[in-house]
Amino acid sequence: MIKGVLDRFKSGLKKTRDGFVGKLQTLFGGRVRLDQETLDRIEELLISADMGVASAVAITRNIEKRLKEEGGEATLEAVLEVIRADVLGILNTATPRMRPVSWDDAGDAPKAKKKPHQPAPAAPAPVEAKGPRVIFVVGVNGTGKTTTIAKLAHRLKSEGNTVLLAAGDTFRAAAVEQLTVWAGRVGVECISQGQNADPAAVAFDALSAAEARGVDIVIIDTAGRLHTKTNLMDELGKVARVIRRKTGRDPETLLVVDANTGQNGLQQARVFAETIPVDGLVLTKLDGTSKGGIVVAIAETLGLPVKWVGMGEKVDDLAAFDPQIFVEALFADWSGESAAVALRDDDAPAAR
Amino acid sequence: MFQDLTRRLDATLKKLSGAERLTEDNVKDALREVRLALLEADVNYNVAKKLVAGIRDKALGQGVLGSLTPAQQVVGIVNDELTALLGGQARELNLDPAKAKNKGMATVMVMGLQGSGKTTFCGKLALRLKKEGRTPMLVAADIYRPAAIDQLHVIGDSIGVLVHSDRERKNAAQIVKLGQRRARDNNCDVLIVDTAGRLHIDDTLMGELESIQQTVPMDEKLLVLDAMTGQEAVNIASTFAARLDFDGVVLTKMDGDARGGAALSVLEVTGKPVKLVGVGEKLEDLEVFHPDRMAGRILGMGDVLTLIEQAQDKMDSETAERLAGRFAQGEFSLEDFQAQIRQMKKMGPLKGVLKMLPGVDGDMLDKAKVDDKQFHSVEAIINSMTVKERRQPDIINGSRRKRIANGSGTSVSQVNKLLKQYRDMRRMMRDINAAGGLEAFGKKVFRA
Repeated sequence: MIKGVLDRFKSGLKKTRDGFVGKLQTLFGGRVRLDQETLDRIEELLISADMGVASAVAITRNIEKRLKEEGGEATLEAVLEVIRADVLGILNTATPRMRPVSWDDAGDAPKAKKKPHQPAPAAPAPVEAKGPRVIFVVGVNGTGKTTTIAKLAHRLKSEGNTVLLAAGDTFRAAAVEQLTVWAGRVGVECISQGQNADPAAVAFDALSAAEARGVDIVIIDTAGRLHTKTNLMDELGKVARVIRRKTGRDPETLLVVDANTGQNGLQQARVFAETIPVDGLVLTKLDGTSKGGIVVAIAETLGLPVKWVGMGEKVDDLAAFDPQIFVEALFADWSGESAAVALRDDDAPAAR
Repeated sequence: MFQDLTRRLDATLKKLSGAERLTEDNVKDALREVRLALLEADVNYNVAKKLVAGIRDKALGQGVLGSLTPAQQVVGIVNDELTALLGGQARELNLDPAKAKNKGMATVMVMGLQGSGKTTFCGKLALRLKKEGRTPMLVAADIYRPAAIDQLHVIGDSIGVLVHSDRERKNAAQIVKLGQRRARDNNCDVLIVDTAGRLHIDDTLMGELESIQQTVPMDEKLLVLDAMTGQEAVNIASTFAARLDFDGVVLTKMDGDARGGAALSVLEVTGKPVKLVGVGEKLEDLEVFHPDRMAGRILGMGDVLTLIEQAQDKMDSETAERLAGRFAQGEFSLEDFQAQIRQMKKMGPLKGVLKMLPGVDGDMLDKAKVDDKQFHSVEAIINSMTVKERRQPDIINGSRRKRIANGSGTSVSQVNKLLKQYRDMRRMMRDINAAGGLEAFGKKVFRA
């Protein structure tokens, strides 16, 4: 199932990769010289892969170092190696390091603050996970949350789990119906209260149902919201707190990011992570042309790892994120004219 | 909208103004910053490069080097270039039924990727045209997603606009043709066609759109583009342009904080102007795109034109002139201060007003904790003064301060603070007048 997806991705890759290396080698004879213009071009190329300025600047600095070590000139392959290694490093080491201010101050935080006069417990009791595992899916409008939930449910079910969905997008017309249809197709149960219901109530209901039925995993949908809408972000915090109060721990929150998204993706992720603890990303609409470089910026700046990638409209078009493949794809068609023009000449007319 | 870019360019230009004179070296630094800012704002890198090259040539050509006001001159040049790139004037839709390709009925085709906001935009456009006295009809030409048809019906019903759909037929062009016939029967004069979206650009989709426009010639073909789109925007737009030669772009989700550099790229690469922008979830939230204003906003000049329009709309011009005259004479009393606050309040929440000012962005406002309540206490303090006190604040002694604080529900220290602010302002105004006007004063201050 997943293999098919990866094969598709790889075969698209191979074609572009061959073209890439070939073209660059004829242009440069495979060697890159150390000068400011070249470094600027590389930096631009990295930024224009939607990776973000901070990551691009850091990687360019490493390339400069490498070029210096090699006496002012290096092979193109060596430069690409630095880039791949750096991006892989960023993606592999990403761990969430933000916690929303005041998240743990809310009265229902699972671990109560120690009161000074009370004797410390002999052994810190491990927080016993009770009830189902809860996956909370959030994101801005139009990124593909509902479809992602269907794919995730399908996958988790095929791994032998019992899964229950909660139709928490009570805002968009026909969103509840959409999830219900998907649930039927995937063969899992869906709890809903219809449009305009309170999303926190839907979540609470779904969790009660899941407990009663001994379900393994609950996936909760939410309405898409621009991160700039304070009231809607507050609502999201409320739903997450209801889940925490009910289950005794934070939900596992996945932020869905559209691979076409540019630098605004970083701001989206920041604001979501400032509102609720986000565990990781789902990168959707990934294909040959849209590569989702923004997740590198998000991983670098906020430490949010990518967990899943979505690549199509079918229910099994979801794969666990593989940094290696992602990095290959990210720079695969960097040839073309883009790299050539960018690396060649500062004064060349730009868009020809 | 373009607030993040504004902030970056602001920082760059502050660096520029810090320099005494502009040299070839610091021009280079500044232009590098401008270029990075554009890239970070999702402007396509070829476009950014071309833009910066043009700016550099103009800057060097116009003798900015050695100029006393290099920053302003560079800003001017960048502004001109951006405005030119953004398309100069605002563009109207060509929906005059008399000039329509199909006699008496203008036709609009709306296309774009999934999740870009096509269907919502169709509803917004229909509502806008209806308010202009037109009779629009919506056509659901999406034959793949039944939910898309439902959504268009819900929207059409909510604004009282007819929606044509056909769940049986599997030929989008035929559905549009029949829709056109039905629109004619119902005396509609605008046909708005909502087409199917795709996850990615693909051949089937393009073929379908082509066949629709061959069957029913379109007066306006609009590409809907999410303002948050990154470098991929150029790919999307040029593919649509090559196959369908669309007339304009609709930028959606502009109520977010995306920098929207994609708009610049699309214009440069395809030559197609942005015509309308979606600025909210409500169906009223659709605006005409003003390239000149947007360029000013990118540059940190703020949306001054909108601000002036609002001011003209809300302010009483007589009061404004009287105040200006008193400022010029350096005779500024607390009575004038009070009048000024009242004028300001008419313009709506302070945050909204400040946001339109040059160099001010959402982050700054959040940090500064701009609060309209501050106005209330200042106003209360002035209201608790006698007319004589307002005109001659110097007579306000200790016991008067206590009385004013009690009367306004504030504290003596708050009253003191206000009086100090007033005195500072008055002193500044006298300095300005003594220096021979605002411009001369500015030079004196910035040279010091």
